[in-house]
Amino acid sequence: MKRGLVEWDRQELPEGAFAARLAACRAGMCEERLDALLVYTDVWRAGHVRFLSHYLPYWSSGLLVLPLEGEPLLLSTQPQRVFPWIAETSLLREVRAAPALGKAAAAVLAERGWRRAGVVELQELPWGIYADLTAEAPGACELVDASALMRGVRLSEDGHEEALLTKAAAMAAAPLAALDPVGQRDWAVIATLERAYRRAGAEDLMLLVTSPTAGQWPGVPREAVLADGVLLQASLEYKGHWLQLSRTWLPAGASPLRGLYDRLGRAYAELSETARPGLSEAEAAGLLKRLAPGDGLHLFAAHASGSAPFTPLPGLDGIEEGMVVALHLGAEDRQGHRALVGDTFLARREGLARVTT
Amino acid sequence: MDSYASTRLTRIRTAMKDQGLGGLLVCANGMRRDHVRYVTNLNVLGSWAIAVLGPERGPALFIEDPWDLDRARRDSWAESVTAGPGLLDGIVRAAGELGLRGPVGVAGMELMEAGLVLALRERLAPLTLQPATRLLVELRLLKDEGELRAIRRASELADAGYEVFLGTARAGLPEYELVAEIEGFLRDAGAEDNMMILASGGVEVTGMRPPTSKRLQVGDLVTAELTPQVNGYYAQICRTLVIGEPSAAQQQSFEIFWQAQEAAMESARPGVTISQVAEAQNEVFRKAGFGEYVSKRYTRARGHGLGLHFDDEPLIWEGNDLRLQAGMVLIAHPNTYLPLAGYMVLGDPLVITDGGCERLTKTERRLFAVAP
Repeated sequence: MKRGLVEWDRQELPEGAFAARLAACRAGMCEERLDALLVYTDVWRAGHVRFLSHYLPYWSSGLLVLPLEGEPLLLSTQPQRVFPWIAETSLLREVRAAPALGKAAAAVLAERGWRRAGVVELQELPWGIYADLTAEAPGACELVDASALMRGVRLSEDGHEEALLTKAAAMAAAPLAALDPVGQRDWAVIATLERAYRRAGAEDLMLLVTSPTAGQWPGVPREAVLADGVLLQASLEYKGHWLQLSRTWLPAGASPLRGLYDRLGRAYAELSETARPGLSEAEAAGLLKRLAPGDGLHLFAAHASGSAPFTPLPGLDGIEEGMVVALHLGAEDRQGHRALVGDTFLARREGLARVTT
Repeated sequence: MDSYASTRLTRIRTAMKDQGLGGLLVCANGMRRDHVRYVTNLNVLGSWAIAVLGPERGPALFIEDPWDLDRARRDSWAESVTAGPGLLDGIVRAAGELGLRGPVGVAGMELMEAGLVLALRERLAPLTLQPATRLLVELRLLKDEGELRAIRRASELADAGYEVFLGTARAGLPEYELVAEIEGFLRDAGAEDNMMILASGGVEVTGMRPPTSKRLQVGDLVTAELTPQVNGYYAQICRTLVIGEPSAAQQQSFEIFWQAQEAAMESARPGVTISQVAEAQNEVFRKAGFGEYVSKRYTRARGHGLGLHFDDEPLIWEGNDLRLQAGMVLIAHPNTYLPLAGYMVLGDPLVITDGGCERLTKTERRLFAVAP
């Protein structure tokens, strides 16, 4: 359930931005000979529909139906009482209550007499919707997977996205710079950030924390005093744009973890300078191998250019130009002590441009 | 594994046997993570996870995100935990090792990615898969002592959170800053999560939604649902306050909500149907001349279950013939729009006892007024 500030600021993100995105989709639909595009959304997998319409199903699900011509239609499991809010916070004007999304979509396909419809992430649709849609779609209408079309549109350059990510990065940085978490209770650390980020206008958050000596990567806090240091991962959403960063804090003065942390910092600098779209699997493996000999290194790579906030990438070779990418590098010494660092980048042809600071 | 976990897995296996199932796959995704938590105790953080439960052994747990692996091994009851690529192969292997026989139930099947369902159908053949979400939903209706302890603690946080809400709400404060304060407080007090919606204004307000930048004004009704989560379990409180002195219309309207909630609490006891609890509330509105406002046009439900999901079953609605039993936990909330003063809310978590019900929150049941 989203409970941050969900509003559409038309100065920040003008309607024209969405017109361009819809036009790009429609150009792809023409090429693929599609009469319509169906795009699933829910509170977790909101990315694509948010990108196309600014609509956010804050606790439910929906299917956006984008015809080749005419207004987009939203099929929504939200009650009719919420429709004014949908109109206020998105460009969607035509909304239909649809408790069974698959059946409702099939009915629209029949009603409009479409012959060929693309479904974004067809194989990733929730089974209930997929089963209803494929069973009840009119025989005359061919359903095809349109994931590649959507992916192409999402990965193309969009200045608005970059501006909003930059704003989100500034929002993420300030409270972290002021944080002095070592020796605090984990609950208190998370509470401080939660307050600060929501006051700054964050739409959603996932804040995870642990101690470097706990033998795990950050998770939901469990009431512990973080005396040995702090590993933290912050995921923050601003106007549909997610970013993620990881940081390590060590106690002041001498710490047995200082050496590990410094080696990790050097490895991460090289990683972020070297990683780029088009890296081969062998190059990616070679890079990781030479980064920090002696320590166990763990790479966690994900992208925020899909429908879910962060979709794990199999490795550095999965980075594509235009992606919003989060790279986290964790190091673990022989005692099982850990350090962690991570940032969000925009993947450009020539390399990764850091967004978070 | 503690005794509650062992008892829980035994109950699940008994239900599987009663329904002729030779195995159970339990699915979590970004929307619903509760079934997997019930079966494994893991709070899934990634996009999906699947637990495989055999007739005598298991669960084996498969998670998408390797980030969670160490925590899953520490926190869950699973016999084994696997993360990362190749999960489909792992699930198929686990089905053999855990002795799954057909038909195999799938809890959360309707939410699983279609491609995964199709692949599992093919790879697990000749085992057949069939939906089994109801199996877990029905088992989860009755709470054990461990679950009730968590819900009681979450109820204490709901009370404390609403006290902070009362102390923070004032004219000029944007809605989202009010939420920020409550979220910060609840995290500091140990809540894992919180579900919260609110609204502010007058007769033009027809429901709640996420906060906006609208600033609270003198005379506004401010409605809120706070739903903190402790050890996986949610408790919810619904209250309404006025910035400044309540008007006569606001008081008159609140009186109807108070009576409706009172009627719900009086009616809630073992043997009574969910429908009767809804009717008890709705009759108060009908007698006051506002019968049309208990329809789906104006209100979603007259309450719902509470547990590992913030909007659990049963949905309290006329026509739901499920009978209450001791050990169920629900919130009866007559929340709806009334033309007298706009949308209003009032609700508390209730545990059904042998003789009736116990209200788990202590916050006064009144229309609060805060100084502007």
